[in-house]
Amino acid sequence: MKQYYREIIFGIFILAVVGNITIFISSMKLSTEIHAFEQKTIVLKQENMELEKEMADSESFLHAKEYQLKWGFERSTRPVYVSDLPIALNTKR
Amino acid sequence: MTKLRLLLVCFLGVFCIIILRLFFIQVLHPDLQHDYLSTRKLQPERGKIYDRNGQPIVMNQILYHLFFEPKLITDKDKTALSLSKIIKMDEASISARIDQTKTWTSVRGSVSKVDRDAILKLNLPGMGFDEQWSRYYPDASIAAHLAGFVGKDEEGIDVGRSGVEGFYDKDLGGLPGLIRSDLDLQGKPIFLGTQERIDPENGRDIYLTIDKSVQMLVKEKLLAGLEKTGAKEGCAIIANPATMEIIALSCLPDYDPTTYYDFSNSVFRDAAISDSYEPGSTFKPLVMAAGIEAGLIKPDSIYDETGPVKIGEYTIRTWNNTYEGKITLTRALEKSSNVAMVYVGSKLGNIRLYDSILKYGFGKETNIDLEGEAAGNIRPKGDWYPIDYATATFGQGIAVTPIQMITAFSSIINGGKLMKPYVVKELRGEKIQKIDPILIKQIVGTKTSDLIKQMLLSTIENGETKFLKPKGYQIGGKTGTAQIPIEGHYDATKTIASFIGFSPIKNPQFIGLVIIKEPKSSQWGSETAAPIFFEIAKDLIVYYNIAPE
Repeated sequence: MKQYYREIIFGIFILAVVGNITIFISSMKLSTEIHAFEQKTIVLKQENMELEKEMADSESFLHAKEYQLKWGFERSTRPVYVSDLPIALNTKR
Repeated sequence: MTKLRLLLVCFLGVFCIIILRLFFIQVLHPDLQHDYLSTRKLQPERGKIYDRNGQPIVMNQILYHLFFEPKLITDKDKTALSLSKIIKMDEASISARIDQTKTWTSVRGSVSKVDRDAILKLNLPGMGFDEQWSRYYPDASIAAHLAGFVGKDEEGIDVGRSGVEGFYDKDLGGLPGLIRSDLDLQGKPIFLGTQERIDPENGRDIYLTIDKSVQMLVKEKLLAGLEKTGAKEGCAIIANPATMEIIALSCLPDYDPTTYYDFSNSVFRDAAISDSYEPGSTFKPLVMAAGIEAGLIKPDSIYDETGPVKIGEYTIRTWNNTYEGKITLTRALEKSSNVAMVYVGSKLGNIRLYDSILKYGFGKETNIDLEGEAAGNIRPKGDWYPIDYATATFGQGIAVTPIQMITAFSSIINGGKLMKPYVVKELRGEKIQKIDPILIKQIVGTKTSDLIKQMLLSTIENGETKFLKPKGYQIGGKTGTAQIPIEGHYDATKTIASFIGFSPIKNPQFIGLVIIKEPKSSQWGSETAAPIFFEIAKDLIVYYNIAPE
């Protein structure tokens, strides 16, 4: 009977040691994963910010002005109807 | 029993090792605990600033701070040569920073991501990067004075300076977070150890009342106007007169907020809210409105303009020293008659005139949501002499800020409502906080406002100068030319020229104030500031799709 209890206690002890080691290893793995995800999140945030910056740049007036000068848009887009309103006022030229 | 004893000895051995290690860490070297338990501040992202249509004006970017660990650098010359080509810094300066007696030296801040990637590709030992948050301006200095900039305080912490950055610093800045965690030898967090995290609260995004397109237009026209007139400085403000939302505000010269440290402090002042000036004739409609509201005068009241007016030892003349005899007060405004304004002032009486000036909000801040606003200067009533009451009727001897001027002028064309000017219409964080227009007080009645608008329309249509205004459209306004007081006297050669105008007449959609300091081409507001206003107005009429009246 005594031998029987001893074996049970020894078994529980072994199980506890194995369980402990397993939890420890899995927690290490989890820590590594958390760390990796945090790093990925940081990189994603940076990439996101870079993309936002590129978007803002492409929509900026400085960018538009660069192309306006390049393609000579200034003269053709100048509104002519401000100082001459035959259509808006319904009058003949 | 032998096996159990062996196990016991093993356990005791392990426990002894653990206890000795703990004694080493906790008693002999308590400072080492920092390596295990790390506490870091988590920086919040500063809120962005957008225009009224959601177009970005101020954004964030991550730049890098390049540093050396000189003891790890093996080839000093190769490192200096390779880096000099990328970060555009001379080799000698880089070499000087490779001081192998030190463990860490700073090389350069504000390194872009592209440069950082290029440096990392070199795979050189003994260098590293720290991240730096920084502001990014897609349209450079389009709204430098309005947006302000982010500087550092004594502890190196980011602080908003001037403009919106200064006024809304706490909203934009957010709250930093904190992370406390046990780290292993590789610096990775131990899952079963201490793990405390308080997430940072990012700053709130700000949506301005500014329209970036109008802001760009105003800045370009003002710059062209300053070049044409040879003026030293200039400001232009466009607002919605019904609500006093500021649509555009530009003062020149301005600065590049990215490299604000390269500029002198004087350019950081936003002249539109911080500088006072004598408004000159642009002040006349305000006095005229006060007279009409009091029922003492009417637009068609007759004034006999016979010649100069004497007030004590002083003589007041019209700007061109010509007198037309019997004229209506509408005509007096058209020809900008100083002597007729003295008559209006005398009808009002000194007390009522002084009270009217205060009622329009002069002499105290408008409380616009921008940092650095000044109150102007209206001397206490006891310090006023009869000549001061006379000159105040045509805007001399008082000092007002441009924002006060446009706010007061808006009140006489929007039905008599003095509104609080503002530049932020929405704050967006977890919740959206909308900012509504605020009525300060009713200044004049709707009837007075309608009469004044007609008088100002007539001023543009029949004034001394024929303005280049778009055909078919009605624009009301008033020019102003004030000499600059220097050491108690006026310098006749130096003037502040201004123009304030609005359109359409019936239901004004925009009001604009243009002020230019010391123009060289002409001293008159009608020849310098007014053309800039009409150039802006022409484009605004198209932009707002305003129908001809």
